Amino acid sequence: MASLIKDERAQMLVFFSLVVATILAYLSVLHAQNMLAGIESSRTLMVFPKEEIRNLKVVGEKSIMMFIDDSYADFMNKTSKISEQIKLLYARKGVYGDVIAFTKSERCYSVRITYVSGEVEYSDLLYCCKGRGCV
Amino acid sequence: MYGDRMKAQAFTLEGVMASLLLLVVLYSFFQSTIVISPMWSEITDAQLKLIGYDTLKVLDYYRTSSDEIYPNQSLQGMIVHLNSTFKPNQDFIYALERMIYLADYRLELCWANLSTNAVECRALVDKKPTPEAVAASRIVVIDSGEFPASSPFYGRGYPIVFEVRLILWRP
Amino acid sequence: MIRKFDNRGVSMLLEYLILISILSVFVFLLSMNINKVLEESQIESVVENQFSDVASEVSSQIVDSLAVYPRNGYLKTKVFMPESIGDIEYTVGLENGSVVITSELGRFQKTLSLGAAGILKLNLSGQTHSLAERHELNYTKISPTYPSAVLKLKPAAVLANYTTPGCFEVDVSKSSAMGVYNWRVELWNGTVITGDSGNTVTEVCVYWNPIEFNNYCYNESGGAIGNTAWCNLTLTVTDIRGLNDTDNATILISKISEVEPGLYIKKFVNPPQTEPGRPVELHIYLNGRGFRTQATNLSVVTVIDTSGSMDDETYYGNFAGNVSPRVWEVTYRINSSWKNSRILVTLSSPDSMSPWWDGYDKDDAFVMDVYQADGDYYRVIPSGWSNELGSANGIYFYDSRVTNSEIGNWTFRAVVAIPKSIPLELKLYKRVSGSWVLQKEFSTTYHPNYYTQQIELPSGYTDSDQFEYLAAEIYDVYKDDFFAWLDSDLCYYGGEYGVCRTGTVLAGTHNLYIAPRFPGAQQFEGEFYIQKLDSAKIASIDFIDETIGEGDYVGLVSFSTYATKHVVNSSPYLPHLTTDKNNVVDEIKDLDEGGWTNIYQALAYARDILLENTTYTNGTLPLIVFMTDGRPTCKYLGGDYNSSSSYSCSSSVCGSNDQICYNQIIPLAEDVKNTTIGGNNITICTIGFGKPDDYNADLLRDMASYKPGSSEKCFYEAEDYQELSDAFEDISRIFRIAAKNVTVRDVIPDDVQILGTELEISGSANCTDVSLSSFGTDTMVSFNCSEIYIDDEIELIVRIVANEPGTYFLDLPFVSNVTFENYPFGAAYNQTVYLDVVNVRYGGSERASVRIE
Repeated sequence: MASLIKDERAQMLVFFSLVVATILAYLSVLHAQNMLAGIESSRTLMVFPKEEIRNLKVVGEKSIMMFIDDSYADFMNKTSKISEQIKLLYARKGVYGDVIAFTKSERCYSVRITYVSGEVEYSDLLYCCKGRGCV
Repeated sequence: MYGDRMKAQAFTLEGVMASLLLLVVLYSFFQSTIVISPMWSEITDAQLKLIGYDTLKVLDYYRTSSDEIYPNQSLQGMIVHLNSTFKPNQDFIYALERMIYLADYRLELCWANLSTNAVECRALVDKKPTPEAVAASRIVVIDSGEFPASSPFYGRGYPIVFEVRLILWRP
Repeated sequence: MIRKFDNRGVSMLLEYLILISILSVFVFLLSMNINKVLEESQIESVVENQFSDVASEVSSQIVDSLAVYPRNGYLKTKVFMPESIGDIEYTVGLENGSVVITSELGRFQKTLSLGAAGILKLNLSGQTHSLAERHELNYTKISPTYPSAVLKLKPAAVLANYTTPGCFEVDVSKSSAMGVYNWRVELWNGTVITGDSGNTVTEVCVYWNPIEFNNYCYNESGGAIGNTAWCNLTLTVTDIRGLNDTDNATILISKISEVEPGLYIKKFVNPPQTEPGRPVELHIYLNGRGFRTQATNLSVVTVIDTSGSMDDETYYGNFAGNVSPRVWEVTYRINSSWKNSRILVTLSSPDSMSPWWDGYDKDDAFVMDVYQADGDYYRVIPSGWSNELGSANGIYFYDSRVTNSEIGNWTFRAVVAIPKSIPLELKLYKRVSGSWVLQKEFSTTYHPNYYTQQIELPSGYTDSDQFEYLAAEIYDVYKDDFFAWLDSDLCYYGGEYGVCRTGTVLAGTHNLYIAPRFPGAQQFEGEFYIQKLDSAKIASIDFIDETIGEGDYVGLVSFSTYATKHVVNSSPYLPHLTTDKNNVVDEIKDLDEGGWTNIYQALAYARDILLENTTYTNGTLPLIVFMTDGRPTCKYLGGDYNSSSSYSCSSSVCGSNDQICYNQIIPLAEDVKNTTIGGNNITICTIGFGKPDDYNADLLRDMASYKPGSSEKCFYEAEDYQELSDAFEDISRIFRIAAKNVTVRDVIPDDVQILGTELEISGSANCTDVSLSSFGTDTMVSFNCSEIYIDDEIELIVRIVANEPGTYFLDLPFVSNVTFENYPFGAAYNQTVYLDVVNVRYGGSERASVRIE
C-alpha cells in the first residue's frame, strides 16, 4: 500500500495528460479543417479551363469562317481536318476537345464545340453567318 | 512521512493547474484563427498566366478577307514564314518581348501530324523554365495555301491547326 | 495512540478518495463546460470559414461559366466539397441570386450573393447534399430561335390520269432552324417522305385515283370529287433539340386541264420565334396555279415568212475583248564597218503558215518596227508587193546608206498575226561588191497572243443541222488592227479583212480567232450574224416545243410568192394539223427562202387549216401565229385565192404605204378573227421581224387580235434573233395568265422596325418594285403585278426586327390583303384575299439556367 501511495503522482499526471491530449486531438482536427479553408475556391480559379474553352470557341467562330466562301465539299473536308487536328492536340493535354462544323449554307454554318475533362464538360452549338457573327 | 504524503496532492493540483492553463492558451489561440488562403503564394503566377494569354490574343490576327496578308508580327505571320530552322522572324520577337516585359519566356509550337496521329512540337525560343513557370496557349488555324514553298508545312492540302505555347516565368 | 490517529478524521485512503472525487466532479464539470466553450465556438468559426470557401467555389465556378457562356449548349463542372465540416453535414443550394449553404439541422447558414450576374443573367436552382457522391454545377442555355416549317409545292396544280402521273416538287428549303433539322412530309394518304436540311427538295408523282382522293382529299366547291381533287400535305420540321414546327399546303390534282387558273397565296414569318434584336423575315408568296387560261386544248397554225429577204443576216451575238500582241524584239549594234553601206533587214518565217493563211498573201501577216540609232523610226507594213519578200513568207526593210549618225544600236520589233506558234528569222545583209552578204541572223519560235471566241449554233433546228451561214464582223474602228479567223478560215469578205461569212455550217461550237496585227493593238469589238430564216426556225421550234402540249393541234403555213400548207398528218381527214409536234418541227427545218411576200394567201390558208375538219378541232382554242419580215408585195386580184394566177407580185403592186394590200388583208383578218370554232374565236398574233422599216407595223398591228383579257394587241416587233425568241415566248404565255392587276398590301406595325424589302420573281410575271408608305403610324408595304402567269412564283420578303420582348402581329385585319382579277379577268372578276394573320414572338428574358445537383 505504501508503495502505491508513493506512486500516486504519476497516475494523476497520466490521468490529466489523457484528458488534455483528447481535447487537443479533437481541436487539432478542427484546426486542420480551418487551415484548409480557402483551398477549394482557389483551386477552382487555378484549374478551370477557361482559356482552353475560349481557344476552341475562337476556332469555331473565327477560323472556320475563313472557309465560308469555299464549296460545300471543300468546306466539309477542311473543317473535318481541323477537327481531327484539334482532337489530337487536346488529347495531348489529357482532355477531349473538338470543333466540328456540320452544315453549311451559302453564308452560314453550324458548329459544335465540345470540351470534356475530368472536371468540366462543355458543349455548345453555334450557328455562324458571314458578317453577322455567331448565335 | 507526512511531508511525503502532501507532496502527491501538490503534484495533483499542479497537474490540474497546468491542464487548465493549456486549455486557456488553446482557447485563445483558436478564437483568434486567421484563415490564410494558399493562393497568396500563387497570385503572381496567375497574373503571369494572364499576361501570357493576353499577349497571345493580341498577337493573333483575324483576317476579314482572304486577300489580306498576315503581318509579320502576328502569330499567323510568324508561323507562315517559318523555315526549316523554326526561327521566328525578328518583328514577331520584338512585339512579343515588348508585351511580356520583365518576364523570361519559352515559345513552343505544336501541331498534329494526321498521318502518324501524333502531336509534334518544336521549341521556337528554347530557354529552360524555372519550376514556377506558367504556360499559356492559343490555337491558330492557317489554310494550306498560305504557306510558301520554303515552309515545312507547305503542300499539306488542308488547313493546319497550331497550338502556340508561351511559357513565362519571373527571372 | 488511538486518539493520535483520530486526529485525521478520515483515513488517508478515504481522504484521497474524497479529494479525487471532488476533483473528478470538478474536472468533469469543467470539461463539460470546456467542451461547450471550446468545441462549439471552434465549430462556429470553422463552419463560417469552410462554408465561405464552398460558397465562393460555387460562385467562382458560376462566374467562370459565364466567362465561356455556351450560347446554345451546356457546361457541367464538378464541385468539390468536404463531406462534413466539423462533423456537420450540409446542403448547398442556389436561390434568389445567391449561393446558400445550410447545415443539416439549420443551425448554421451562409449566403453568398452572386451580384448582378446572378440576378440579371441566370436562372438559379437546385441543391446538393454534402454526402452526395458527386456534386455538379450545370450551366445550360438554349437559343430561343425556334424552327420554322415552310412547305411549297411547285407547281401547285398537276394533271394526272390513270396511266400518266402528275409530278410536283415538294420544296421545304425555305424552312429554317438553329442548325440542322429533319423534315417529314405526310401526304394526304399517310405516305411519309423524310429528309434533312441538306436535302430539301423532292419530287412526288401521283396517278389519278378516285377512291383514294374521295377518302383523303376534298372538293373545294363541295361534294364528291369529280375531275379535280384538293389534297393536303403536312410538313413537320424538327431541329436537333427536338423543337418542331408544322406547315400545310394543298396540291390541286386534276385529270382534265379544264381548271380555272388562280392565285395561291401564302404568308409566313421565318423564324416564328426568336430573341429580341434578331431580324426575322416576313414572306408573302404568290404562285400562279392552273394549267391554261382557257378551258381547252389549243390549235395553233404557225405562219412563217420564207420570202427572199429572209436570207438576210440577223444579229446573233457579239464579242469584245482585249489582246496585247506578242512582240519579238531584237537589238543589234550596227558598227562602223556598215558606214556608207546599203543595209537590208528581212523578217521571215520558214513555216507554211497553214491553214491560217492558205489562199491569202502570207506576207500580210508580218509587221516590223525599226528603230535606228539616230532615233529614226520606220514601220514596215506589207501592202501590194511593196516591202514583201518574194522568195519567202516575210517582209524586208531597206536603207540605201548607213550614215555616221546611224551607227549604233538598232532595235527591231516584230509582230506576226497568226493563231499558232511559228519559227521566225531576222537577217541583216550588207551590200558587198554588188551582192547581198548575210552579216547577222537571229531566230526564235514566236508564240503569238490571240483571242478565241466560241459561238454555239444549236442543233435540232435546221435540216441536217446545217445552218445557211455564220457571219462575223469586227467593228470598223478595230478592223485594221486585227486579223480574224472563223474556224480556220481567214476573215476576208467583200474585199475587207475582219469580215467573214461561211458557207453552210454545221450546228455546234465554232471558234473565232482574233490576232493583233501591230505592236500596240489591243481592244476589239464585233458581232455575229446568222440567216434570218435560221433564226426564225430556232424561235418557232422553241415556241412549238414550249406551247404545244398533249392534245394540242399544230400546223404550218410558209409563204413567199405563194403560201404553202404543209402536210403534217397522214390522216386524210386532217392532213394539215397534227398532235405530233415533231412532224411540224421537221417541216420547219426544211424551209427554204426565196420569193415575194404574199400575206393575203398565207392568212387565208392558216384559217383554212383551222377550219379543215372542225370535228377534231371543235372546242379547241384556235390561234394563228403570223411572222413576217417584209411588207406585203403581192396583190390579190380576185377569184380563187388558192390559185397562183389570182395574185400579182412586185415591189410596187401594193401601192404607196402598202395601202392596196392593206385594204385587202385587214378585212380578211377581221373575218378570220370573227370566225369561231366550237364557240371560240380565232386569235391572231403577229410578229414583225427585222428593222422597223422592213415590215408594215400598222398592218401587222391591225391584223392582230387583242390579247385575252387585255386591251393590248397581240403584236410584237423583233429586231434580232433574241427578240424574236422573246416574242414567240410571250405568245406562248398569253393563255397562261393566272391573275391580272394583282396588288399586294401589308401593314407592318410601328413597334417593329423594317430593315429592308426584297421582291423575288421567278417566271415572267411583270411586277413593280416594292413601295413603302405610311399608314397611320404604321408602314404599308405594297407592290403591283400587272400579270402573273401560271407557275410563276413571286415572293415578297420584308426583313423586320423588334427589340422588345412580346408578340407582334404583322398585319392589320382587312387592310393587309391581295386584290386581283380572277379568270376570265376584268373588273367583274375582282377578288380580294385577306392575308393570314401571322405573328412573331420575340421571347423575353430567355436566360441561361444554372443548376446545382
